[in-house]
Amino acid sequence: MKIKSEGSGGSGPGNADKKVPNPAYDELLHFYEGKIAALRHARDALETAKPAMTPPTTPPANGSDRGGSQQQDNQRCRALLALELLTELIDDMTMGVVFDTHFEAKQGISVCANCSTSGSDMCECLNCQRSFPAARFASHMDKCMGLSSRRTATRR
Amino acid sequence: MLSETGGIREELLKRFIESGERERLQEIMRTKLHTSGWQDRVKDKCQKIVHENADRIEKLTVDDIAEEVTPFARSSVPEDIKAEILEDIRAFIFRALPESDN
Repeated sequence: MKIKSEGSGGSGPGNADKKVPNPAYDELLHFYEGKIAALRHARDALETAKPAMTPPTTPPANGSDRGGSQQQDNQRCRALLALELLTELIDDMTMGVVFDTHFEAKQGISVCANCSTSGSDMCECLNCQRSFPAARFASHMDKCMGLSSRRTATRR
Repeated sequence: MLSETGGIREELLKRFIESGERERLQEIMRTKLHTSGWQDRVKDKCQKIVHENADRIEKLTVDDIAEEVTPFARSSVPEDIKAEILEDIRAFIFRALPESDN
């Protein structure tokens, strides 16, 4: 009876271990199948939304078909509104990243009014001898010296 | 109904926020985007923009960075995540404005 090998390493005829289970392969297969299902679902959802989201090609001709196109307009408004809300959510998250990056950039060029130390001058930690830019020195020392509540630091 | 879309729109946006739905969807999206690597990609792009403007960094505003990164950020969202959240939003709109004609 011939055993079918399911894509595990080595499918040549002379291979002794044809049916060795390959958990890594199975996991990857499962992951990608999930992705494919999600994309199919997404495509179907977009297909459904498409008629509502494409602009009308011909203007409504007369009063008799007012009801139908009124509903189409409503559908279109909803669809556009949904898209607008989605874009707002995306933009919100983008701005989070923008603010963080901007802050770090400005920290790098900050200079102390008193002693003129630049934000990017390096300081060496007394404990672990690692080097840090001035702007990040305080938070490292906080954790390294263990004066404020340390979470997982080990005592040396 | 069309002539009232102004008032209805505001009402709907308000309800979106007040019901907590916006926050709920934002958290779901945040996790998905982070897992997909989107946040890292956007971060890289922002840092690239900062480096490109290194000569005028003191005058670089948040708006400057935002203007340049937004098209990239929007188009970089994976399609399945977009469609998933879009569906939830459409469901919310549908619940809030049942398809009754007047």
